[in-house]
Amino acid sequence: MAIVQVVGAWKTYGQGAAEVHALRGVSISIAPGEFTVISGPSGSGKSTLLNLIGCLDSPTKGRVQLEGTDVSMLRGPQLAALRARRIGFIFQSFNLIPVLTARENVELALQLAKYDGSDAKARAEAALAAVGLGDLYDRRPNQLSGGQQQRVAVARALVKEPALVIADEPTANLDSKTGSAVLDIMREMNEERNITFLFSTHDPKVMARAHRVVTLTDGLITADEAR
Amino acid sequence: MLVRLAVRNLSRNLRRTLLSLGSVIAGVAVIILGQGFVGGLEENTIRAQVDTMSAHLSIRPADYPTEGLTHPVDALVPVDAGLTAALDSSGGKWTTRTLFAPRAVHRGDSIRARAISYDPVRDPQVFPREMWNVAGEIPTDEGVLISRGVARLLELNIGDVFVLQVRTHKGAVNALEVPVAGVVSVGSPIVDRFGILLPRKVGNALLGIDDGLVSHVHLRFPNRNRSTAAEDLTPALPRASEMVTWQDETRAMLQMHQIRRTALNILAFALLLMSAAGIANTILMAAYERVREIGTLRAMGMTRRTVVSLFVLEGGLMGAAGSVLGALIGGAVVLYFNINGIDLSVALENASGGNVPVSTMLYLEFSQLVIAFAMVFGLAVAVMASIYPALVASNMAPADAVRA
Repeated sequence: MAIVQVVGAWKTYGQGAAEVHALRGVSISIAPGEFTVISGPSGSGKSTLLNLIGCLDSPTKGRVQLEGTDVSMLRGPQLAALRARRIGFIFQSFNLIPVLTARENVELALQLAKYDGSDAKARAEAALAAVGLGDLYDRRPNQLSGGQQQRVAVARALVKEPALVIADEPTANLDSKTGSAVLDIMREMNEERNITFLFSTHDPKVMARAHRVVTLTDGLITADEAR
Repeated sequence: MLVRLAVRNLSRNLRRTLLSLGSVIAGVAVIILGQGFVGGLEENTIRAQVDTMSAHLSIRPADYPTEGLTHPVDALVPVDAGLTAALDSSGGKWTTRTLFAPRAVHRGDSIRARAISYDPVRDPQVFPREMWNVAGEIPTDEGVLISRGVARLLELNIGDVFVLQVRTHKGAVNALEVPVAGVVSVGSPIVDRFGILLPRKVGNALLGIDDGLVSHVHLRFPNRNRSTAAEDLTPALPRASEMVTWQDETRAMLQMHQIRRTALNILAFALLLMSAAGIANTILMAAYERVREIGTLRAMGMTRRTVVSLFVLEGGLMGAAGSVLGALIGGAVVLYFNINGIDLSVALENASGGNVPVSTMLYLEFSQLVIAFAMVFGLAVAVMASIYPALVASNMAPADAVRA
């Protein structure tokens, strides 16, 4: 069974003359364990598609299924629970909570996922150690480099063992060496834990590491290549 | 984690948080101080009236005037055996006084005074003298005790002799030379400005009345709120006399204090409304500064309700801290003046309205209930003020907020 199934998804913003179709009947299926890249020029609808798959937004028309559940049938709290437990997010600007330490940022993800184990702290530390930040638990984001912040974001996304990790241009704000190192970590997690990754990116290096590259142009899938 | 997040968020813009906190502190402290002040004034009024003029219950001639220096002695209350028995079995201490308004003359100067002819034995049991400041002695047989006001106006000293002129009980004119045995300040302008205190023997001689006739009978009970005393004494009440309680005597003044209390509450409410606006502004600014963070939290699975809780918690923490600090400051000031009092003697000496029952020492009322109310009110205002910005934050679309 596909982890993600998008069927005929439309997303329209504005009304009348100001109407803009960000997606125009997109259909895509993503299998468990895939390392998929959505590419395309700016304004092609990449982020919109990721928003729909990540349950951050709903399609104007069409259907989005996650692990067989039609998410358009779910209400706010149910969608929040789904995001908390089954989806990890990694953002271009890292999006760490600045007042929390690295460990607390990761622990927060566990708490929101209603992880009730007494070892939340240890799990958060293990997740940070897995991305190579074993000695920086107590640093706040402003005390970390961009690459370190993105590693914390990766640990935060993975600590709850989600079914799907959505990464929106995760290397765009990193230099090529750091971006490559972050990508290595994600690829490793994908291979070791069979976690499904879905990226949006322009970065050819990311695309080169993907199992599959889907190209979006003007809200339509114009290419879907397996690597 | 939510509490930790809220606390740390508040420390992000410390200056802004402290300004909002200050307004809550001020609002809560003003409520406590204002209530303490008005409560103290109420108690002060009651104490001045009860301890110097009326005790807890008074029997006086019917339609006795209550304004100015008007103390007629043509109609008096007979203290007969029946009344004495009823007073003895009332459960309180009692005494009798005769008030009159003589002209006091000394070396060509004269003033209209308020004279109190007292029972030397019973009077101290009903009107406590701990607060009296006496130079010389309190006469029990001969001589009179004059107030500081009279001493100053007539330039009288202890041992001087002056003249008291009166209309007697029968309407004749009488005058008596009396020596000053002492100068007193009782702590109430009613007595301290124009008061002259005379032992019963001197007073009766001046007014030409027998022992059994007085203008007032005063009772003092162990508990001033004893409600059945008046009913118990009614059957023994002499004809053409009336009974008044300390509540009757202080009602008009207390109503005035009630108006003051209401005005103060309105002021405190207005202050807390300003605090509310400050808190709402602080939280709203915080919400707009943290749009991406809110989006991230929502993407991570935080529900809208939890986002609301987070922002309300931030407002609530500000309110709680402000309320506690406001209560500590307001409570400490009230407690200090509850113990040490505020000396109003200079202000009262220069003020007009010597008929107003006010004690020269004002003790603020320290009420734990008022403090608790002010704290809860401060907290509630802060929480309510943060609801709107919290809703604004929770309504942000996560897809847009996350990339803001």
